[in-house]
Amino acid sequence: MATGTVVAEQRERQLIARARAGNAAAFDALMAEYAPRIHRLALRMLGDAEEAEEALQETMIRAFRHLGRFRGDAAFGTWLYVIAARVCLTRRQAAKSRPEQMPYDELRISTEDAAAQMLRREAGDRVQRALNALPPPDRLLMVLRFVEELSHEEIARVMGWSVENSRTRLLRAKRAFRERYEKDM
Amino acid sequence: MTSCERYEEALWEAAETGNISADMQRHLDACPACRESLASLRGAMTGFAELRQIPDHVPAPALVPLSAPCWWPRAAFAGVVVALAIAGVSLWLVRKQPEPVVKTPPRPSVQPEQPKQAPVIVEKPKAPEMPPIVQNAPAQQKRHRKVRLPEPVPVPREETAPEPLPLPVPEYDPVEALISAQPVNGLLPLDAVPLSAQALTAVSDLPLAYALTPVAREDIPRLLDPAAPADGRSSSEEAIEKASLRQAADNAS
Repeated sequence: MATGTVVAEQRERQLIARARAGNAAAFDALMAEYAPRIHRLALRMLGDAEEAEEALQETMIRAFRHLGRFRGDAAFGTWLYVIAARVCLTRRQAAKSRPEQMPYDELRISTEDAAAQMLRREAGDRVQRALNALPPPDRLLMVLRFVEELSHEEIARVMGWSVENSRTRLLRAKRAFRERYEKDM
Repeated sequence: MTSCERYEEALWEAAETGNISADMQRHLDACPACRESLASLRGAMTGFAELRQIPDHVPAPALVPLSAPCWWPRAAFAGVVVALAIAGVSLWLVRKQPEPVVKTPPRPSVQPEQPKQAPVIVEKPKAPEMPPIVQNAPAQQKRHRKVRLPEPVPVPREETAPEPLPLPVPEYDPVEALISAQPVNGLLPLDAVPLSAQALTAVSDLPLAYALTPVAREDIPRLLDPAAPADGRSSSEEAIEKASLRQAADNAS
């Protein structure tokens, strides 16, 4: 997760404090910054646009309800990822039997030329298919690492593991992903 | 661990960042499988980069109407629940307890003048000896409920001092009354004869003439006792005889 500037961090702290005090507008302003990333995570994890929207809403609701538990030890975005990851895993377990869709290409508006756009879309499709073939925990690790670009430390916080444990599991997830990705040639 | 496995992490890092160490490069030059894996992973990184694109259609964070934990509906609901609970418990307690006595019962319609007397009662000083209205007297309340009569208006007493206790009434003894009667001219006065029912009953056993005649003290109980015959004669005959003898003796003296 990219760290913001000092001003942005101060503003974020102020927004968090006001949202904790019950200011819904402050919470909205806070979420306006993180909602796209949470939605993207949900979209990559769940593979369905509607489910991703529902997961985003559920994540926001949970975040608002449990905002008092946020102690500020980690970044607010990481804390949101924790919630979103749990929401997505729960939803993924519940929707195990449903066939997954490939939503992302329908949601993009591209300004690139058609050939380059097609290549990128094909690469994205292939990665998404490999991700969809992974068990939900492995998929979450891969999304957090390569889509959300979280560090090992941040992944460990989100998943509630130690950093070493996170590294080990991520390596296993990488192997599983590579196996499925290379099969889909 | 084979040499290729040793470079597995380095392959991912090389695909992600593009940084290839010299040792890694030497391995890649010697291992076509790892070169192919690196190319594949680079394509995957392109795909991940594509997935990183934020979709244009991001739902607006309309959180307030969906998630704002508005406190007042819960508070109102809790208040209603508490009020209902209190009302239910109160109703249950009221039904369980006996009805309280009405302090000002409705006056009967046949006594329209009684309200005029009420101010007089109010003006009187409080009588300490007046019995207070007992609210929890089940027997009395049951009586009230059954008969449905209004409580009588308590009449205040004029005297504040308590009434003296009645003196013990001595038991009336007609025999003693006859004995204690003083004869006048050898005869008992009529007004000396006790007139109570008990005394008349006792005296009625005797003829009136002899009843008016003084009788010896020692003879009176026997005369009054009909169950004490002597010498086969009736008590009346004996009493007449004795009375006659005594009268004669008195006259002689």
